[in-house]
Amino acid sequence: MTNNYEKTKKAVLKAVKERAEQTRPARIKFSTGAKDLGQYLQNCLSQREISRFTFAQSLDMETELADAILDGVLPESELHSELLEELAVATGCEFERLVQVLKGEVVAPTNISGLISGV
Amino acid sequence: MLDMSGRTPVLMSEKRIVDKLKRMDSRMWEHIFENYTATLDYDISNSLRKRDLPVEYAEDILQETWLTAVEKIQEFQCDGDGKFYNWLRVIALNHVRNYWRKNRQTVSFEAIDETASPNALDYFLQSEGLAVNNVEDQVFLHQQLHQLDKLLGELNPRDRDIVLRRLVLDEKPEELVLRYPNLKVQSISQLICRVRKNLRNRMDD
Repeated sequence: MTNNYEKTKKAVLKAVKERAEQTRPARIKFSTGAKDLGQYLQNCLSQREISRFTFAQSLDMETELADAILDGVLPESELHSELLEELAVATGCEFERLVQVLKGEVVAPTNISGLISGV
Repeated sequence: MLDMSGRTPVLMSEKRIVDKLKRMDSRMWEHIFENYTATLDYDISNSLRKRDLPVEYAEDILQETWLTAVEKIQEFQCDGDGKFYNWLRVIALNHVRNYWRKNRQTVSFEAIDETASPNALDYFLQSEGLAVNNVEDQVFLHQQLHQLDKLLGELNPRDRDIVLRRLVLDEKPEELVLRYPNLKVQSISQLICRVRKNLRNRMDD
């Protein structure tokens, strides 16, 4: 355990060092994809009257993780296509639409016609 | 929170600590690593256990989580104490879930593709212990089928259609994706798996 702990610590500090060499915080532009997706999913859930708890349950997910997705706290890099597919199934939205929202190509709609898939 | 990264411990708000992390202050990262690793390891191991996954994965997930945190700290917005650990934790839980998904896909594909029997419903009933030849067990079987029926009734119309087509009409996931082009084979397998799991849970109750 101590060995693993030290190994992980070393890897983390190495990553910090590498990152420090690349990072110029003032120049970094952040995508709002995760927030937009969270907002879009929240709209889907409220239009369909699905609670956050039911949403988490249907995804076999801890409620904290579901909340992090809905609140746009989970980093965008963690929202990979397999997870998006599952989110699409759980909310009845189109997968492609979720990808577009994440990429910032679609503004989150507030009416049901913009949310429901054609199926 | 106490900042122990300097010579003298300083009481510092989490927001200021996160600012230091964003500036890639290696002492602060070291301090935060030492402060949170044990709790994070505990939470990861707990989540693995809940998902019936080997606790040995914890070490890799712990490292992946910290590396993601270093990589994505600039995106993190700290709006209160305790938020940083919550952020770390949800990243870790998502990583655990990724392992679980990989594991489950292997299992679900095996389970579903094992359906060499002429009718997938027969296989499903057999594997769930619902197929009985003995008359005395028929009452019990009837109750269990009633549960299955109830469970199907709780699904949305699209999911119910998919489950019935898969289990009763024996349509393959590859055929079902043609009917439902916005779904993938994996999603269908996951749906069937979810129904199986729910059914098992109800029978255990």
